[in-house]
Amino acid sequence: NFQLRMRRVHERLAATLAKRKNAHQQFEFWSALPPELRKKCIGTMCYQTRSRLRATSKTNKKLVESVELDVESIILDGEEFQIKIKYRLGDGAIRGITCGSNGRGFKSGIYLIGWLLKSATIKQMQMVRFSSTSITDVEKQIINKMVPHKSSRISTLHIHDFDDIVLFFLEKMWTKMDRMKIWLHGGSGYSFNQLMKIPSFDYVKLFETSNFLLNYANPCAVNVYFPIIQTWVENNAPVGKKLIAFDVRRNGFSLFVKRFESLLISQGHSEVVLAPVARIGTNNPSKHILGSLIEEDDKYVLVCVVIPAVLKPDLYHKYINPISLN
Amino acid sequence: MSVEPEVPIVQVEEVRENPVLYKIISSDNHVFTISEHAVKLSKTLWDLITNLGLTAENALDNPIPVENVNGKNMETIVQFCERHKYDEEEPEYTNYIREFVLPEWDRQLLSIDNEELFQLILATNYLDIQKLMDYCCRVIGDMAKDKTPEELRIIYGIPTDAEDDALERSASDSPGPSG
Repeated sequence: NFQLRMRRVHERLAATLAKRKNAHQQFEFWSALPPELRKKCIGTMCYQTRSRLRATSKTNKKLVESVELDVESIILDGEEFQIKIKYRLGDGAIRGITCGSNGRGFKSGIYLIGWLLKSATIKQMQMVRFSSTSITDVEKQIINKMVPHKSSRISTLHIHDFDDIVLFFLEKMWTKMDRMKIWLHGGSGYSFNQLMKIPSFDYVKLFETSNFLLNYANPCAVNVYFPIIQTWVENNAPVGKKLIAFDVRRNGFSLFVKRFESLLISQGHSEVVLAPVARIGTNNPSKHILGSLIEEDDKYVLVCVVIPAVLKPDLYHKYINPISLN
Repeated sequence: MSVEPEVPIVQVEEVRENPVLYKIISSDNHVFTISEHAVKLSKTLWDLITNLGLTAENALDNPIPVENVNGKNMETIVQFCERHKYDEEEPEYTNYIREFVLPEWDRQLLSIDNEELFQLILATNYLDIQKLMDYCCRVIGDMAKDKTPEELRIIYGIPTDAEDDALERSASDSPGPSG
């Protein structure tokens, strides 16, 4: 027993010594390294280490901000003023961190948001509870100074509560976004006029939306989405571009057919989609648009997608697949 | 061109598949032999070999002088290249965080003093050896793990903003090469 206890003491001591040795490891030549090599070293650091190095001096701040960074997800809460970040460590493990503010407003967190929007490649970003009071004009100026228009590299964006302030952030996002989800809880003024002028919205491959307040009792009328389809018809939208509008009224399909009657190529029930489909032409003869209304538990989902003109009806499920909607 | 080695030639393991060996002379006239597979890890050296038209027949008679790298660093580099010569090719490099675990053998190889590590990373950059560069950067980057900004200032010897500004001012005040 004594020997066992002593061995444990030795092991603990050895571990402490190893830790101390590591803690004192230094590399005082950092500033003597050429900037491109310092950037490569920064490239091996995780988000949190970069964040701390960024705080050491103006020179390192500039260097850190000039190196691209991979971020798994960011959640910006416009009411609690919290920034939740998930990132990968060098060995691939995922770690999460929450940055909060003591009072109202993001305060110094706005610089963190600016840095991430400028330098990070973000797999998923969520904006929660953003309203006109979430950021001040001064904070907007800071973001404007740090982040050029159409530069933020975000793959999937989920806006939980649409408000005009969101347009400010959408202006910053690049035009290669895969997926954009906009959920509404307000129900009023869901007009796409402003949204459709934003490049990141215009180019997004998959746009999903829902208006929760109008759910069940008074679902959303599909005609609010028709201006989007009209731009696809006119502006040569790429094959695969898709709109999924949840919680729409059951007359959505007949309204779609009526609205685009002059472009209608065919309509009827599809055996592969298991729903009514209508195929309309576009200004580009090699592309068509397929519209469908999928029923799910007494709720209706409008799905519209750009397809190749040569696509045969038995392959519609490649573009509209009810199973993958949720 | 033929230079007599001042120190014994560093032995490399016998090359089974390709018997071509090259000679490299460091800045302090140490001579190293390196196999073809290993030397290919250095884009700079391989470009030089290709441009000089060295072949299996004349490679050992024409040592390649590398004036920017000393013998100590070259020894580490040759050891590294010989160790990793049959590794699979790495995917295209990006600036994003690279996910890899630094092997223990390489961590030991790079457990050297600061000045040596500094010279080694410069040499690796000059010789353009991507994998060794990644490993050196990871060793330097790992020193910053879980450290506060204050600790990082000490570990990396980072000057304060005021010191940085003073350094910039003195650099701009000092006369240039012509003045």
